[in-house]
Amino acid sequence: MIHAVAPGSAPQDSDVLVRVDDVRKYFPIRTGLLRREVGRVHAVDGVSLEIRKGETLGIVGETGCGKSTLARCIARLYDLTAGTVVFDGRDISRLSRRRMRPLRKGIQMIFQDPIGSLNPRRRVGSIIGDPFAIHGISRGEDRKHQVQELMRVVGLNPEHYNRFPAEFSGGQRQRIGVARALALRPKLIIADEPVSALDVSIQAQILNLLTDLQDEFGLTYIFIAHDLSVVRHVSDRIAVMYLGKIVEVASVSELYARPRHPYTNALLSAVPVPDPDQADQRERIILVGDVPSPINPPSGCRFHPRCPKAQNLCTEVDPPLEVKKDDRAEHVAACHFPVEVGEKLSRARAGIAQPERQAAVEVSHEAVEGAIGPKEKT
Amino acid sequence: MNRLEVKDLTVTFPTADGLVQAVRGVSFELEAGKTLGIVGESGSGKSVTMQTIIGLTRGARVSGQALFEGQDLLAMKSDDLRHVRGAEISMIFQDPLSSLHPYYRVGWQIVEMIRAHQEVSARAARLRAVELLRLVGIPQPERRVDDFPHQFSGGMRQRAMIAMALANNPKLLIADEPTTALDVTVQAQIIDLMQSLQKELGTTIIMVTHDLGVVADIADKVIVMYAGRAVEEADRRTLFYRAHHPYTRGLMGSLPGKGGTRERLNPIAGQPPSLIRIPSGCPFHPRCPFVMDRCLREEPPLLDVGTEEGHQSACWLPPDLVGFDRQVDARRWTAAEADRTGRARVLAKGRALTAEPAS
Ligand SMILES: Nc1ncnc2c1ncn2[C@@H]1O[C@H](COP(=O)(O)OP(=O)(O)OP(=O)(O)O)[C@@H](O)[C@H]1O
Ligand SMILES: Nc1ncnc2c1ncn2[C@@H]1O[C@H](COP(=O)(O)OP(=O)(O)O)[C@@H](O)[C@H]1O
Ligand code: SF4
Ligand code: SF4
Ligand SMILES: [Mg+2]
Ligand SMILES: [Mg+2]
Repeated sequence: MIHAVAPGSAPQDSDVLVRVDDVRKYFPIRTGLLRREVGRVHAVDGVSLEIRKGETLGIVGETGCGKSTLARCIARLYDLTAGTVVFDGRDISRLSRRRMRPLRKGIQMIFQDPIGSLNPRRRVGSIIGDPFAIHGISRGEDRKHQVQELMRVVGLNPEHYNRFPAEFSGGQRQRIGVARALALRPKLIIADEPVSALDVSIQAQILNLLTDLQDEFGLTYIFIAHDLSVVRHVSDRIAVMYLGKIVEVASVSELYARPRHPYTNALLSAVPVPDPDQADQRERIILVGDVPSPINPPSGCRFHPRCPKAQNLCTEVDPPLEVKKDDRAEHVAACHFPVEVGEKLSRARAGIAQPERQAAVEVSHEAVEGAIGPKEKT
Repeated sequence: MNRLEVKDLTVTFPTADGLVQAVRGVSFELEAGKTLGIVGESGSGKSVTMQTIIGLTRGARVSGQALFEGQDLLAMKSDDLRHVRGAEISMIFQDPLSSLHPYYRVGWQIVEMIRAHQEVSARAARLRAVELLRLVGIPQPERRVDDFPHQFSGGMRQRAMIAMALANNPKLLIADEPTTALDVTVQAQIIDLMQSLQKELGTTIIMVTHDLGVVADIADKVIVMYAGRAVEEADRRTLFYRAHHPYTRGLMGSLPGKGGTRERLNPIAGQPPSLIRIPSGCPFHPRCPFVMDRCLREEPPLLDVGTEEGHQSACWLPPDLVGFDRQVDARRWTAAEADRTGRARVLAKGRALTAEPAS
C-alpha cells in the first residue's frame, strides 16, 4: 500500500483500484494589481495511498487539512501540482479534460450539501437524469424508466419524479445526490462529508443505504468525514490527515486499538462517546492551539508545535510514513517517537513552543484572507 | 433554590403558511451550578425555547413563565431584560459571527460588553479582555486582542465569543450548539474550558446540542425535545441506560460506533413533522414502531416513569417499560422501517442497474 511497506505485503496489483503516489496540490496566493504570487497553500503535500477494490477507505482530519482537495485530485476535478494517480490500472494524472471524460463515469462524488449542487428550478427527475444526458446514454421514456429505477434503489418514491428539490427534506436530497452518483455505475464513489449536515436518525438511514449499495453493486468508497464515529462505522481502513499529509493509516480495529501517531491519539480521545460511563472514564488529550497555516507549514514534523511528545529531532526531520516496531505490515505511521501501548498523553502539554514561527504564519494568513476570499466549501 | 424555572412555555409564529407551533408547553427546572443538556432533531424547538427565555424571539406569540432567581424574564421590561442579559445571563450561538461584529476589533467588543454592565475604566476593561482571551486559550492575547474577527480561525472566534459571554461572570450560560461547527479537538478544548469555568465560578449551563456524545459527557440532567415538546427528561445515566420514550431509544439506536463496524444501524423511519401540521395524538406516532390505537387520538402528557426520581416521559407505554434492549428495539425498528419505506426492495438481488456498466 504505502511506499514504506515491505514489498511482500503489498496487495496484488489486481486488487488495487486507485494508487495515489506522492500527490501534491498547491494553490497560489496572489495579491496586488499584477496578481503577483506571494505564496502557496500547501493543501495536499505529498500523499501516497492505495485503495483496494470493494473496500471503504475513511479519511479523517481537522478542517482545512486537505481531505476535499485530495478527493478532488483523485477524481481529477483538479490538476495535480505533482505526483500520480492511477485509476483502474491507468495513469490519469495528466489526462486532458477531453481524454478524462470517458473515465469520469467510473469515479463519482457525493457532497455534503446536496442543495448547493441541485438547481432549484429543475425537476428532480431531470437532475438525476443529467449523467445520462451528459454521456449521451438513453433518452425519452427510456431515460425516465432508468431514473425512476434509480430513485427506487435509493429509497425515493419514483412518483416524485416531477418534484422540485425544495420539496424534499435534507435526507431525501442526499438520496438524490446518491442516485446521481450511482447512475453511470461507477467503480469508485468519493463521499465528501455525505452525512455531516443531517440529523442522527436521517444520517443512519443514509449510512445504511450506502452500505447496502456497496454490498449490492460491489462499489469502492472513499469516505471523508470529520465525525470519527461515522467513519469508524463505515470504513475498512482509515487514513488520518494533518496539514496536507497522511500521518497514519491502519485497519479500523488496529487504529482504535493501537493508534501510534500522537495526533491520532488526540483525535480519538476527543470524540465524545454517547455513553456516560465511558465518558467519565475517558481521559481527553487536550491539544494546545490551532492547526497552523498550510501556507508556511512547520518544519520537520508538521505536528511538532502541538505535539506532547515532540523533541528537537521533530523540528528538523520530517518523519516518513512507515511500519513501526511490532505493528502489522499494513499499519503505517509518520512519527519519530510513536505512542506505545498503554502510554498516557492526557497530562502532557506541547513540548516545543515556537513563537517566531507563529508570527510568520499570522502575517501570511492575513495575506490569504485578502487574496482568496472565503474558502470554497466542498 | 432553582436558578431557572420554566413553566408551560408556549411559542407560536404566525406565518403565511400557517401557525408554526415551535414550542408547545415546555417546563423544566435547573439548579444553580448544574448543566442541563437539551437534545432533539433540528426543528424540534430547542433554539426557540432558549431565545424566548432571554427575550430574543421576534414576531412570536409567547405564553408561560421563565423564572430566573424568582423573577419572570418574560414579564420584564425590555430595558431590565437587556441588563439581565449580559450581566447575569449570556448566550453562545452556533455561529460566532452572529454575535461578533465584523467591523470592530475583538478586544474592543469585549471591552464594550464589560463597560455596559460594570463601572470600570477602559484600561481595566482592556486588561480584563486580555485576561479573558488568555483564559479561553487564545495564543498571545496581548496582540490578538486588537485583531478583527476575520483574522481569527473558526475555533478562535468561538473561543472569543465564549470570552465575551463570560465577560461579566454570568450566573447562567446558554450555549446553543456551541461546538457543532468545530472540529473534535477544538470541541474538546471548548468543553474542557466550560467545565473548568463551571467548577471555578459555579456557572449554571444549558447546553443545546444534537450530539448525544456531548450530553453524555457533561450534562447533569437531559431533556429530549420532539415537535416542540419535552418528551423525556432524566438524569444523564437514566436517560442513556434506562430510557423510556421510543424517540429517545430511536436516537440511541441511530448512533453509529457502538456495535461492530458496518453493522446495520436502526434509524428512526421517516422525518420529523412540520410544526404547522403536527400529527394528532402523540406527535411521534407516524414514526413510532410501538404505536397503539390510543396514540393516534390522545397526546400523552409528561409523566413519571421508571424508578429514578425526576425521570419523566410523554408516552402511553407502561411506565415501567424502561431500558433499551438493543436487540428487541432493533427488530421493532427494522420491521417498522421495512414496512414504511419498502426498503426491502433495495436489497432485492439480481436486479440490473439501469445504466450500462462504464467500460
Ligand atoms: N481553491 C482554493 N484556493 C486556495 N486555497 C484553497 C482552495 N481550496 C482549498 N484551499 C485551502 O487548502 C487547504 C485544504 O482545504 P480542503 O478543502 O481540502 O480541506 P478539508 O480537509 O476538506 O477541510 P473541511 O473539513 O473544512 O472540508 C485549506 O487551507 C484551504 O483553505
Ligand atoms: N422567526 C420564526 N418564524 C417562523 N418560524 C420559526 C421562527 N423561528 C423558528 N421557527 C420555527 O420553529 C421551529 C423550531 O425551530 P428551532 O427552535 O430553531 O429548532 P431547533 O430545535 O433546531 O433549534 C422550526 O420549525 C422553525 O422553522
Ligand atoms: S514526529 Fe515528533 S512532533 Fe511529530 S508526532 Fe512524532 S513525536 Fe510528535
Ligand atoms: S405514545 Fe404511542 S406513538 Fe407516542 S411514543 Fe409512545 S407508543 Fe409511540
Ligand atoms: Mg472538505
Ligand atoms: Mg437550533
